[in-house]
Amino acid sequence: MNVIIRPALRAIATVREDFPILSQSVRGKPLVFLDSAASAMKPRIVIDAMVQAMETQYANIHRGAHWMSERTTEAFEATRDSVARLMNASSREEIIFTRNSTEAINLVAHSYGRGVMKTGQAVVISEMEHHSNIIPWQLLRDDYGIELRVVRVTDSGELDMEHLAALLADGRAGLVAITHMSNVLGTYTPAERIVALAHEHGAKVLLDGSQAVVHRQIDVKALDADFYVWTGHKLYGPTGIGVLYGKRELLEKMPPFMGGGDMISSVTFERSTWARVPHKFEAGTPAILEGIGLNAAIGYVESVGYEAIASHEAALTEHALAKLSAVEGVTILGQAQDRGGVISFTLEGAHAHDVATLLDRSGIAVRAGHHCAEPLMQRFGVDSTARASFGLYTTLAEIDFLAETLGRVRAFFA
Amino acid sequence: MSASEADIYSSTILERARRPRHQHRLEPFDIEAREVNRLCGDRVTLRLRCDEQGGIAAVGYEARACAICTASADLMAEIVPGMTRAEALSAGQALGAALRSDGTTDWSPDIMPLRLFEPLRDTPSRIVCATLPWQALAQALAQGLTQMPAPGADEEG
Repeated sequence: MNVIIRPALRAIATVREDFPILSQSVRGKPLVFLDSAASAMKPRIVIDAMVQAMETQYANIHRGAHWMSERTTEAFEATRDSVARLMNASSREEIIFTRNSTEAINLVAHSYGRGVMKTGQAVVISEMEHHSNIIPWQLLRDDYGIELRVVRVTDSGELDMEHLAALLADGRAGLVAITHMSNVLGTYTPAERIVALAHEHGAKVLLDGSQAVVHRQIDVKALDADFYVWTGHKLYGPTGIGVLYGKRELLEKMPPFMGGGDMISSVTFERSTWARVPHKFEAGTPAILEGIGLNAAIGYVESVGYEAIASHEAALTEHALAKLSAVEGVTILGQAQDRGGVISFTLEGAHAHDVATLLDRSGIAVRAGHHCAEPLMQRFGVDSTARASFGLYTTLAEIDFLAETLGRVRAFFA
Repeated sequence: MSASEADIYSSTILERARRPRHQHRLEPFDIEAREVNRLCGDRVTLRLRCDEQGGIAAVGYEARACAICTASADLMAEIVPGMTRAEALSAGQALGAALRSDGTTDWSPDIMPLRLFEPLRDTPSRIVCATLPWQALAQALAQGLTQMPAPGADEEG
């Protein structure tokens, strides 16, 4: 293991140099960016890939019989190959590009929910979902007569697997849609067990990997996930490009999500036919430059390596949990056994927003609020929390500075 | 924290946030309104009592909110009673305008006690914390138009 851990830790200084923005100052102080779970910074290679595409080879894709369009189509479609490889999908046709995770979940709620599920079936979500994995199912429930069931989260911030089993017992659940890693608690959910349990009861599974894909190698075949969604901008890529993985047999059964250009086979006023998957689900000109940027981001992550990333982030998380819990007045939400570098906390006597503002005055960027997870906030009896989250460029020194500054914030509000 | 680091938290703001003077459920009341900051979930519930001329006689509020928002609500509850509806509305609008301006907007006498929020101009994401109670007030006054006697109604009627 040391062979793997050492290069990652040693390489951190080098990794930071790949991110131009990390050398910026904020309010005259060095930027300490601890908000990667909201959106990660971009390495030079991603920025350059997008600029170079605009400067040297750019045109609309899938339609022009000219050199520029062909080269751009190749570059964009190469991203689909990279995503399929990254997630170990069986084929590139199982990869659909969306704007973000939210759109990917809405696509499934619409096309699988309304197109394949039957009224009276249930969708099972959990208390620790992001709003993007709650609202599409509420809309489905209200429009289409689907029952919405919610798995409890334990006091330690883990999924209550017994409760999940109970919610699946009557065999009416058609789909389980659950996060692979909580954006508030940092908890990894036991995805393989969830999938196995759901499949035993005849339910398909969608995993929201928006956070997980940043920190762990995702293998959709090993997980046996039916759908897996994530977004490019958290994986050091551009905004505006997200991914839906779906098992091909399911995608074939599903009707289109949006209609328009690029998703058709033929069109007449009487009747139109759809393109094959994945294009059936990709109406209109996609985020071409962002797709090209995403390929560079995937290449970058693979060049650092998930094992190195995971080791580094495990060290950061362990250090941060120790350091932050030693600050008087700090309470950390959740103590899951299997957790990653996303830590939500409250500071006694100070509102999360005030904490975040004073940290910002010291150059430290954290998120404060309900983190688009209001039901989880209610579950833990808090209105809002501050959240520090780590990326592959985060350092132990930054965490020390956070803890030290939190001590001063505490003293200020005391 | 150094003075410059903590510039938006004047001693008055900290004091009002720690020990609000006007945070309570007003009874009896004529109008109630609730405003939520959708960015963070902070909320202010506001109650108004009106005088016979349709002006504002008393303000009470309950805030589950940050220091800036709580202090703003507390100061509002202090300066608004005695104002007409129009004066109260324009005070809220003047606060928003002054905080979002480039520094050239005058602080009118009505809102001079709120000038301590001026450093928020450098922190746009927090301006809404100061204006939230005033948004609740505007909402209360809008719904109150149908419930409250119009100003001077007695004289004209």
